[in-house]
Amino acid sequence: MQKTEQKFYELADSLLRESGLLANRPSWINLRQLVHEFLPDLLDTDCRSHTYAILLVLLRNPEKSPERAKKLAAIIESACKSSPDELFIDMLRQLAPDDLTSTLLPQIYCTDSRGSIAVYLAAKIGLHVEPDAFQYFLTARTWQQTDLINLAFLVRPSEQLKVSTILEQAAANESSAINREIFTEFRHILFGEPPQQPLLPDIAIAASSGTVITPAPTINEDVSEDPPEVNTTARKGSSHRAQAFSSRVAPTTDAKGKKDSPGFSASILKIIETNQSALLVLFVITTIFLVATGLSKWFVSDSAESVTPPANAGKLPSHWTDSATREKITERYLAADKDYRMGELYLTRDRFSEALILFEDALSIRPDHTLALYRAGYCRLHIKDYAGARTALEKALKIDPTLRYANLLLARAAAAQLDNKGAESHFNRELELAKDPVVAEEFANFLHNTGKEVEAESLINKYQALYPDRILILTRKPDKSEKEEQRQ
Amino acid sequence: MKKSGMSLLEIVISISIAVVIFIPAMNMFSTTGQAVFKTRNFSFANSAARRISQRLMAMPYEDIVEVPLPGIALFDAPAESFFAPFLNTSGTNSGAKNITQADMPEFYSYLVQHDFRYSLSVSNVSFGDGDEIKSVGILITWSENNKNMMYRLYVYVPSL
Repeated sequence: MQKTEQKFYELADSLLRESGLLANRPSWINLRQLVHEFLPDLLDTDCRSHTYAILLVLLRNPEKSPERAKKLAAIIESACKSSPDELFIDMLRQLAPDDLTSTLLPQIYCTDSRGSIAVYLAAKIGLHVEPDAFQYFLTARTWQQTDLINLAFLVRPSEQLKVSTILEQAAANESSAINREIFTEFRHILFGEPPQQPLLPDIAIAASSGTVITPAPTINEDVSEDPPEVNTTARKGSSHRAQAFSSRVAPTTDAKGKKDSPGFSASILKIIETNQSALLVLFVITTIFLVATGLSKWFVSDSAESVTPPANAGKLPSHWTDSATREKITERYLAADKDYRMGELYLTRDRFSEALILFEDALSIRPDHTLALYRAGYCRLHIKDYAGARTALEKALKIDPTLRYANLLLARAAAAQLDNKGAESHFNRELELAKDPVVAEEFANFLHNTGKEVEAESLINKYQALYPDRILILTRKPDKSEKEEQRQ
Repeated sequence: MKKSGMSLLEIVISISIAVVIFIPAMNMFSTTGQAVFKTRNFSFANSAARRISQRLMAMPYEDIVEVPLPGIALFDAPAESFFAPFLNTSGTNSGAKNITQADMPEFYSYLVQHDFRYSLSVSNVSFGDGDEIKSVGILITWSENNKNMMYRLYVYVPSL
């Protein structure tokens, strides 16, 4: 690659030393051959501006082949990556307008430094574009003010009003606020006080090539170098206007940080505009969650600013709600409960009569006290009041049919009253509530003692299979003679 | 010409969608908040009752007496009661902390706000020869969303 570059410069030097018509010089032919074969390599090297100028000279011929157009476009694209010099600009002016239109103008759409340099070059060589093209340029990318000023040079002075009208209409139909703003700003530049000549783009470093673009002194260049049409516009302004404009533009050409900020904010605004719906949804969801979080905090918060007890604090309410069962608790409920608990205490010493009195007391306060009914039945069974026991237990089961062991007590009461059928029925009901091996064993023994040995065996085997870790046995009830023997 | 902006129909649909999302979200937050609120009160009542039951086991049998409803407040409790002092991390009386505005302001505010109280329902049964048992119902009451709540715990304390 370096070899190609070296050869190129050697041939360029010898070309200058040779005499005669350019087309007849030997170096010219060799140079053209070299460019024809190795142009991409040459453009990849760190080209100086005058290299591009030489390349343009080499490609300046009336031939309009697609290959030439492609090479010309590559040269101009590469040249737009670095700071152009006057020699290159002069060479650009030598190109045919249609060459420039097809190679230089597309570079204006580039969002990096190439776009800015392309506008500057187009303005410098006095290129003009059709009025309706400006709206497409303006919406294609974000625009620095310097670029907008340079773009204004591309408007023919006679078409300024037309361009303005087109942009005004375009702004009315435009949904993007940024684009509307850029149209308006460009119209203001058109009818404002433009500088007499294009301004060098305010870019310190070329994005892709990394070439440092030094702020050239072209802003104070000779006015005579301006293209004729641009001059007609520019000359209208007086020198003090130019100064005033320079001062207006000055902030954008100051520090890097300052000049970057408008582009950045514009990009942010552009992102916001293009993602309006998503951002709106995000905003609504965030708002909902913020409000909900605030409210939930308020619901849960216990740090009251002023410590105020409830209005009924210290007063005896008519009822409470049990925090575990949600039952309604009254003073009567509590009184009945107290009697019931006392009855339970007597039961710990098998004092069934005293306990029964307390359970009856509890029932007199609260007749639907299920546990008191059950315990009353239990006590009556032990004092052999089988009828009373059955009444209490049946009442308890009526209130709560799933009450455990009430059926067992009923079965015992029935068995004691020799109501075998009733006892079997209650045993079965108890086993329906829960497959309790103790109840099953008692039931089996009952069956066994009442002569139903097969059923008893079957039941025992069934529950033994269910509870293999327990030992379930059938015992025979001692008859009267055996009892007598035991007594003796 | 293309008109920018939103139509009335679009606005109505947007608001409807927002409301449809907003109301269940609000309910979800408020329900969760209420559940947290209730669970916290229940847990506190449970721990207060446990504290009393442990104290009952250690205190002299004859000192276990009835505390009628509406009970004694847990905050600003009288000295040497179940909740005064509430804690003492030091070895001296000076390190004792009571549930007062001065000692434990946030906890005090919480208890005052909900009017946490305790009552004791005591039943004494004597079987002779000094064999006695007390059935003690520990009742913790508090106010929650204008509702009077109660937590009950029953313990049996033998005299021997």
